[in-house]
Amino acid sequence: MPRVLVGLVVVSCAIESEFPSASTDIATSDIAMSVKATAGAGGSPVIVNLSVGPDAPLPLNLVETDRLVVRLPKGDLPMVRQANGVYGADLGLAEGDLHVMILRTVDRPLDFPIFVPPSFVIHAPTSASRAAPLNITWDVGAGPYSLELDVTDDGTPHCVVPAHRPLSFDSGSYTFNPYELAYSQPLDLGTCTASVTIQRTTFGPGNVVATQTRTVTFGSRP
Amino acid sequence: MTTRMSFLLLMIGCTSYQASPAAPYELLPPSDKFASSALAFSVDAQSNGLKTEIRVIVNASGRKVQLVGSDALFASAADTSRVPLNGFPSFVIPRPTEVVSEQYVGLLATQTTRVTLVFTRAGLADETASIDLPPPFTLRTPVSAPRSSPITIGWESSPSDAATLLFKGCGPSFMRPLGTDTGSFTLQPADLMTQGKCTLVVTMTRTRVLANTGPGFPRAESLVTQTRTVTLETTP
Repeated sequence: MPRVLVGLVVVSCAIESEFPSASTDIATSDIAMSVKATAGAGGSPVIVNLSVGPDAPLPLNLVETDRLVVRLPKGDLPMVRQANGVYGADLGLAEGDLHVMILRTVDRPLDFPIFVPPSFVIHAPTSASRAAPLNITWDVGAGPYSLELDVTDDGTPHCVVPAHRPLSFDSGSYTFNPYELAYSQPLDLGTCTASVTIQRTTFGPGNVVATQTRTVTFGSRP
Repeated sequence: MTTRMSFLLLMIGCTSYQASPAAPYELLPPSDKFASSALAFSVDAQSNGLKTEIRVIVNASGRKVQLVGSDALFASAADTSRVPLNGFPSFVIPRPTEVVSEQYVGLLATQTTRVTLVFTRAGLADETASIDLPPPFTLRTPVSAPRSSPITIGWESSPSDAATLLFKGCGPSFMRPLGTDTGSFTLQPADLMTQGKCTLVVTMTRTRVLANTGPGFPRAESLVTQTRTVTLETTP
């Protein structure tokens, strides 16, 4: 009989842990928030994960007067719950200093400042030979943020050697050497569609990541 | 009580068995058990322009083999005398005491691009092969360069080869492969993650794989490499 009781308690705990906590029961100091803002040409979603608990955090849903907003210069943008503990909004063309905030009446508000790096446009040729220099340019922005440049192909077929370039500063320009993106002979064959992706990233206090990403494609030939 | 004692003894027995040292290295088959035509010699020859290091791994029937008895390897070049290739690294196995060598290494003070490899058995030159290295080259860089501008490294090109450049010393190290050796590489201003003055170490390698899997000596692929290194001072 005691074994049955222990089993029921274990099952009960397992079921309990799958339910999100209600925010009004939680002090602000116990709420954990991670923010991922991914601004790109096709939209600028910002995703916030709310949780509570130190070791195995449970998803947290905001109820009653608790609200999650992105504070923009033009006003507050409400965030909509997408799943248990997950909230989203589209920043549109917003960039620069923003605040993700939990506004509440039961306790003090929670404020996560984020810096969304400035938007930019990539300029690359529509078609390029791997035997020639490949010059890529973009708009130089004001930091601080880290910058990464990636070149890859769509795999139909593979014709470009993938390149990842962490850049020490926003130079606004990067030139690949002739054959730097080419496989060695006799593997360097064919044409394919390649892409250049540039990503500006900032990391805020706590678990806050904001990126500004752009991608352009170009035809790569021998 | 008897049961508990038996269990305890069993535990001690298990502990004692697990604590006994396992043989750290397996003895390699001796080369004199094979006809010389059954031995395959994988050669790795690397030149820095002044010296060429030769490393050979001997295989037979898909396993590494140790040279024993009168079996020996030598290397020579036109501008230097013959040197023996000695076993390296050598592991000493305690019981019974044995020395195991997984590869055979020698250093030739040669500036030529052709190395002659000789396998001897019973003191006689049993088999001989010429190993040709890629064309030599000299790296050219400015003595000092500002990182605010592109930095160009030049050398004698070899369009039939690939090339790999390694950059060390100014931030995290990174490699830049070139599918075709054009004889030039330009480093971009944002490539170096550093501040202030720093010494940049540039190493370029030109490697070829020599397929030799036929019946003729050395009966295995050879990897031949030319490597050069230069340093330059960089400033912001």
